Amino acid sequence: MKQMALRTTLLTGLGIFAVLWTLLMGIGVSGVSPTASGARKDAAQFGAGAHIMYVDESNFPAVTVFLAVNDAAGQPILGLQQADFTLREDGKPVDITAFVGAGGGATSTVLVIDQSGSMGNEDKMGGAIRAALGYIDFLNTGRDRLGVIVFSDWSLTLAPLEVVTDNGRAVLRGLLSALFPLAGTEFYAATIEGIKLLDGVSGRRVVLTLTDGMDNSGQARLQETIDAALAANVPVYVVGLGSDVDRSGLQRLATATGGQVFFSPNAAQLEQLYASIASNLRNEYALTYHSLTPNLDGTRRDLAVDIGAAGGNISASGGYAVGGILASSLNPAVFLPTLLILLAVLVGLLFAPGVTQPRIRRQSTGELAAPPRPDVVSDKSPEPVVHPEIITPLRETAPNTASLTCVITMPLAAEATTLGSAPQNTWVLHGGGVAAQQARITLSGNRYVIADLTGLSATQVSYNGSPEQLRPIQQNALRDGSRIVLGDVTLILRQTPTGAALERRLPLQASGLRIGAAPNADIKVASPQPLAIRIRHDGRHWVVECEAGQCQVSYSGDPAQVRPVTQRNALQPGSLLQIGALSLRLEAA
Amino acid sequence: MQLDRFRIARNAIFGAIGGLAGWAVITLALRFATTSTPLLLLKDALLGALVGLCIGLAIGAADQTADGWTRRKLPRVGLSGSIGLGAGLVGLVIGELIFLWAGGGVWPRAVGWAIFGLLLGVGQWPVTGLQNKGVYAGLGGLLGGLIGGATYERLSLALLGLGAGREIALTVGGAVGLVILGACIGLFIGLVETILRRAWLRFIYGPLEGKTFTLDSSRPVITLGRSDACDIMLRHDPEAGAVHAAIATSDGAFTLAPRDGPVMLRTAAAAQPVTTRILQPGDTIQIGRSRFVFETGADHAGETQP
Repeated sequence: MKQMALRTTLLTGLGIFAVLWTLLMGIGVSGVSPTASGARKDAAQFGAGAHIMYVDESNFPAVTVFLAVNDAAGQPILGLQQADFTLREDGKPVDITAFVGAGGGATSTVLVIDQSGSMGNEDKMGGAIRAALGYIDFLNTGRDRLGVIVFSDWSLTLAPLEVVTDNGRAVLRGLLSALFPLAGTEFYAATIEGIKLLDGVSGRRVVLTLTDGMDNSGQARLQETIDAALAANVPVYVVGLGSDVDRSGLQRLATATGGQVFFSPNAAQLEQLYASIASNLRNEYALTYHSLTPNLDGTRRDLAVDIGAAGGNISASGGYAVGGILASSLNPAVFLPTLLILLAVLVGLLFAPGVTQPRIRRQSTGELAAPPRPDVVSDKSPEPVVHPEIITPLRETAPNTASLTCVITMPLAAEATTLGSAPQNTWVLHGGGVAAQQARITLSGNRYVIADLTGLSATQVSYNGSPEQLRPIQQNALRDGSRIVLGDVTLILRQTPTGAALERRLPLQASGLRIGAAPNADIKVASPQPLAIRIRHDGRHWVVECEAGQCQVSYSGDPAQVRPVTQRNALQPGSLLQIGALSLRLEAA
Repeated sequence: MQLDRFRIARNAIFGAIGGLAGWAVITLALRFATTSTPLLLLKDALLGALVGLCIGLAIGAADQTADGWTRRKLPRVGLSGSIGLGAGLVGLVIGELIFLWAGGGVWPRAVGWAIFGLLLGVGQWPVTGLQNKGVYAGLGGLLGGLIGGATYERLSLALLGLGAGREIALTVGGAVGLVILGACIGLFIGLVETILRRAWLRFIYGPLEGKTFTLDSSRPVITLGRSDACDIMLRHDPEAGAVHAAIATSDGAFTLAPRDGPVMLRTAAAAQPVTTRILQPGDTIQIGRSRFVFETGADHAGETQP
């Protein structure tokens, strides 16, 4: 129970840490647009000089910068040409690929109009309608786009975003004139509706929203509206009418979204205000260029514009940010060193002692400490502990002897042949990793089939004999040349029309090879009589010694010359031995 | 409970290498990918999938190769990679959507990476066939993704804020960031597993010395031996049998029995052969040249023989 509580505590602690860490990492990174170094929306107010009013990056890496260029009196300067503008992104000059002069562009506007009950006072409703109609008249037929939303307790899309036509104007005039004040002020909800109408539209866009009261739905709605505007990159132009408005809230909405805020004390001034907004929008210059860093890397780019003609040198600055959750940049001079250094550090850590594995204890010789063998077997032990002598021919060399390989041929029985390290198998295979009862080979039709008896597919077979094709099997057909691997032991099937056998190659070691029925034999052969054959090196030659039982040999390798071994006959490459069903052939290694 | 710092470090380094590989791959991919705003989500899906593939492969490899590598483990590592691919795709697209919806900040991206880590971790269930593993790794991936993701984002922003050139900041920041992300996911997957697991074997001698292997009770039989089909592979132990011994799990008990070779229970005085033994915390077992201790998260667990 104590452990249970400890686990819970630790996990809870980790969870709290993760959340706190995430929040900590987020400190200082405001929710303002996908930007890097705390970029802000640049809310330039109308006035003297040049201002970047809006940056359209919806077709990034093509970017369009909308500029208002005003004279000292705040009046738009018209007639500037492309050559008058110098545009720089992050300080580097860019080529302007498209230029739209003042009055030549197209705008997309959504008018959001308050029709709450309070609009009924002081002819506010009438003023708002006149302002809206004036704005509509100002738009270019067939080029500009317009949508209209009215709101009280709910929002109503009076006109979806469409290109302005004469017919559409007439319809809207009728609809707007019929508006009457009622109910409350769901200002933020309506503004969000307006933003949605403009989401995904390219070019100069603006939501122009009018309210005379307070939206009581609170600060959360204000933030939601700002977030929506930022996500859609739509600036919100806010007009506060009368004295009941939430001035700081409206100011924040406009500033945070790159829009403008205007406070109009009474309805009479609305018409002129709207006309001025429309005029300023229309007289913006649009400069399009191709970003020098066309990666969506989630960072901000700074913009600067110099205008070198009429009215002396004036300049404007601003910026924009692009999305992108994953960012990188392929600069070979930076990429390769970074990759190599980090890789070297990580791989170094992986193999450094004491990091991913404990330091290995070493003796003074530098060898691994001797393995602790199991201590003395208790004599009460009910079962004998068998330590089969393992042939490890591949790991030792015979320095003073000519190398010979012994090719052992084990014929397959007619019905079933079993393979494994246990003595009851047809062929007993000693070797590292051979299971007691590892595999069985049976004849099915004219084909041999091998089955793995461990249940773990510990036997591997390559049907065509290629070592690359080895794979673990449960059951597999065999053919002449098929390769079978059981632990350290590799066998090749030799199949001829007259019969089949397994072939195993064993390099001869200095200690020689014992073949027979004795428990210490390297190759076991079942035999009713005592059988002990030994192949060893006597210092000069490889010799075969027949200590017990029958063994036949042909020194030349000619099967016709096979005769019984007398005493200590010298062997040579090619010599053939036959011990019962088993035959051995010696080859030069 | 014993925190297995070697295992955790190994997981973290593998994860970090996965993150680094992911960064290298996406950097090369970005070289050829068109980047434009309308294709933002498509780009996120592609890059997320690539990073996920790399981290998934690394996490799978870290887990699968604790006892050595054989070609047989390739499909599992590959499966882990494909799950990472899907997880990265989903995680990054969701992250970007939250990011766009929230208008920026660090946490939306961190949440996206946390979703990636969660999916990748839970994916270890199909990879290993072990339900517990999926739960541990899912939890670890969630925490690692959150912490690593937040750190990654913050680091990139901080580097850009330093006024370093955009290219250098993006390249180095992206690389270090993804290395941290991968390391966190690997680290927390290892950390949560070592906190939550109930029983494990700690090898104190032999080729696997210093490594621990969780005994997952959702696996009925856990085999040890030289064969690469064994759950714990004693590949470099020349005295181990193909399937030397097996541990059967039932009702929270772990029963050890020999198969192809002798199993010795070592006590302070001597070693005695075992026919079957219900493992007790602190049991020291010898198989071939390998020696390990059975340990549990239970209160009375100790390293000495009771």
